[in-house]
Amino acid sequence: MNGTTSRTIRRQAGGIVVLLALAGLLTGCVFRAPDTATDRRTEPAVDPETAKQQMIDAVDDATRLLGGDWTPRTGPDYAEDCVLSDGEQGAQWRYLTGSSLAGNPSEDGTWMAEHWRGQGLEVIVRDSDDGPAVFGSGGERIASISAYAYSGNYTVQAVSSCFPGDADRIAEEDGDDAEAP
Amino acid sequence: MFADDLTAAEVAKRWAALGLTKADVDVFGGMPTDVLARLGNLEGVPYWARSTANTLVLNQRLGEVEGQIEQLEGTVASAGDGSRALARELTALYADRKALRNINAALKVKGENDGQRFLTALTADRPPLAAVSIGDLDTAANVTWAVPGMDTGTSDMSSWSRAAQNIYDEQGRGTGDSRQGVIAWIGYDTPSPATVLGMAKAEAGGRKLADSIEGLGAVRSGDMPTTNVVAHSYGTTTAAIALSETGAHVDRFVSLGSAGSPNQVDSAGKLHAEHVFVGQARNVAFDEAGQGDQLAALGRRAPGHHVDPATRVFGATTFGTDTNPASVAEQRPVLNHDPLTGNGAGYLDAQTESVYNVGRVTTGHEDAATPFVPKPPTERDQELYERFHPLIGDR
Repeated sequence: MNGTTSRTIRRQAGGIVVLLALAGLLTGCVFRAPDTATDRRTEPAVDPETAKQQMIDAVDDATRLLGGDWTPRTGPDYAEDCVLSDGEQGAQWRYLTGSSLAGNPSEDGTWMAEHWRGQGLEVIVRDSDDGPAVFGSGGERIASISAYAYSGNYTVQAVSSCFPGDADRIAEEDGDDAEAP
Repeated sequence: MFADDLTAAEVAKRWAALGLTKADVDVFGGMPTDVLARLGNLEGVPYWARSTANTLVLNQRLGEVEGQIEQLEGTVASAGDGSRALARELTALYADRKALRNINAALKVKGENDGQRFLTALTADRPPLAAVSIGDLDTAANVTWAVPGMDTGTSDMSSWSRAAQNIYDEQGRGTGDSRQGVIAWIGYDTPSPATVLGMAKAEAGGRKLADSIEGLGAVRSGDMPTTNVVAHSYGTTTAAIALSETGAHVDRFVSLGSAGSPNQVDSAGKLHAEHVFVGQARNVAFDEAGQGDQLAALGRRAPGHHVDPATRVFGATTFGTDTNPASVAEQRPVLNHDPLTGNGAGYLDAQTESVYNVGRVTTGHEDAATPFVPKPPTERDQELYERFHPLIGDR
């Protein structure tokens, strides 16, 4: 058996392995059931309204600190999937709001980071030419929160705690009241 | 205007001559359905008009399909020898209804205050192909096609629109002109596991994507927005065809979890894109979902699309997708091949490092993107590699 034949056999064998693997993955690339191998959600379940209010409170707390006028962009009644602490699929709210505040990006970023650290959140800061983006994870009342201190386009986004529910069903129920474009 | 040999630019010119504006939407209500169906998919026609036409067709088709299902359900049981054919048709009708309802749901999402949704394509296929844009493509300063991979049909339109929404929201958090449009583009027949290793779906889909890109150029020729393609998995294969084998051109191409660039597209320079960006989570074995991307590397074993765009030799700009530990709830790592997962660990889930970077690089802020820091293989993969390396050899 020469080297070329050997490589060919290996390639064919590899191809068979690939086909078998793909055949076993008939559910495809997209939108599969929650993968519970990670430990992202461990908080106790809350009811949807409490979760939403705690998220709104967290956003309001941040926007009050930053000042200026703020306009909701997505949410607060925008539902997404998440995983409950027992591994079951749940839903969460997401709330993104923005402001044309000029601000002082560097100072505001530092301020938000300190504020959230003081609340017990784990904070990551990403600096860029536009200003800092501050990310807070953890805490008991929300899943996460972030603030981008970009002069002229400040944004704050929070994600609620995970609660028992189905995001698609919530969206469909809400959508019945909305108008098509 | 419906002549087959017209280019999108010629269609745009003829449409402009009609002098119709958004104030004329009532005119569409009086048009026959077949005219609306063609208008809704005609490249060169403004997107407000396409969406108006498609929405009317969608509503009509939903009513028709419901009626046909009701009628057939009553006759299948008593059809005797013909029951098998009727049952097949009933199954097809159920699939049509599922897709049409899902498209309808994707247009009516509550809680999205900033980006109006438009139905910019709805084909006559069964089930239909479709495109939902978040944001107004007639006025957007930055337009992005979100191109999906394997097993994505319009019965997934709500989910794929969520992925598009996540891109839209992240783009809107950047500085500069915030008028953006993101198209949840399920405009091609995506492959199944049986066909994903072939090139046929990418060849056909790539040409459809190119038509869509060139259509925007015709409609917005006097005021051309910045354009991006963000593709996932086999969508990257399809998009690479569109951007290499046709005249279509975009400003930026973002490849996520690539199932492989076509063999002939072995460098970023062969793509008609000013900038090419790649996000690739750690490649893991196919049974290790939750620790990394378990499928992209398998896809790249295909005979016709085995080029890995994340390699240095390809020449794209890479960014991070899985830098942080799984425990963080912001800037989360990608731990699965899928674009969206139930636990927010997909390439286009909100709050991921991946979607943060997509938002940055598609708005000209690549300086803010996090760098690609390859993760070491899982312990099991490392052990397997060491054990079998003498058999596998260098690749």
